[in-house]
Amino acid sequence: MGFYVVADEDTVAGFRCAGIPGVVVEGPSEAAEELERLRQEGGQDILITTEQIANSIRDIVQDIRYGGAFPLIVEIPGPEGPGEASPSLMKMIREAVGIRL
Amino acid sequence: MPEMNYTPTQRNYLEIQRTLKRVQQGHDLLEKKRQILVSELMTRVEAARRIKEQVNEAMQKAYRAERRAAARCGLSEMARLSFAARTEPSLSVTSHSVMGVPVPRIDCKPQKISLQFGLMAGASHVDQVMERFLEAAPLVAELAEVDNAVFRLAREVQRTRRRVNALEKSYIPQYKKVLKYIEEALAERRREEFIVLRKVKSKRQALMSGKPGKASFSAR
Repeated sequence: MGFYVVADEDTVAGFRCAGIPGVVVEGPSEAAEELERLRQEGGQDILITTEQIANSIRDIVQDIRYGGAFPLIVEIPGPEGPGEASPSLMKMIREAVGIRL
Repeated sequence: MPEMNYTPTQRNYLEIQRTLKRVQQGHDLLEKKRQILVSELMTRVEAARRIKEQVNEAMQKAYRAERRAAARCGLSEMARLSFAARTEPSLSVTSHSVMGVPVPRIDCKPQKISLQFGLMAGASHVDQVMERFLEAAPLVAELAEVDNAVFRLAREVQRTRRRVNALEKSYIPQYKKVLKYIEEALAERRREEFIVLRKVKSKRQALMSGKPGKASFSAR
């Protein structure tokens, strides 16, 4: 139920202060494993991860995104600050609609 | 790709005519679906962008507070305190379908913020961390909703567009071509038959009036 954070130490610690549980992962493979596990288990509504992690395991993130109604996956900027404004999304919309936004 | 070598018969003609009609109906429906999906997508794109910015800002603040707290009381102390957190943003999620695309709807009630960790030592800083992250949570929820909706809708638009294009550029012209071919072949055959018929008729007429002796074995 509710949020679950899969991210680096700082992000997980911060969200934990707000009562949102999470797990610290280091490296893409660990993150992928953890997300896969959470997805199999179910029970979480929203998985929070950082842009940095999501970028390193884009395939799995997309898989979860399109896999079914839940869980949702959302990327937030990590402690290093926000990255580019998700180029993949804008690219996708451009391809879908055929116009530039 | 459908098999396109039909023998030119009336029966096939009618059959393909029916199929073509159905294909055209399908095409119209898909085109409508695409338009609806695009409009649903466009209504969300702006919101997605706005919320993304808000989340960025909120997270910056949250990380700043966290760094402050970590500097004041140390990461381990903060981690220790954080396990005692009693708040959790309340979240209710539902999913509804837009043209078969599961689009989430999330309701995240902002939690009332109260002191959790007390005023001792660095604890007030940890309280601030909690506050900032709690503030960020509803925004993150909103981002999850809009972002996922946009991604899913965009993908469905792409798929639908591919199908519309396939029908428009490939199936429909092909069916039309076959239809035209059969039509021409049938017309050609009708002309042939007509001429044969006329020949037979004129021969018969010649037979009836005049020299019965000569043509008597070829008639009938």
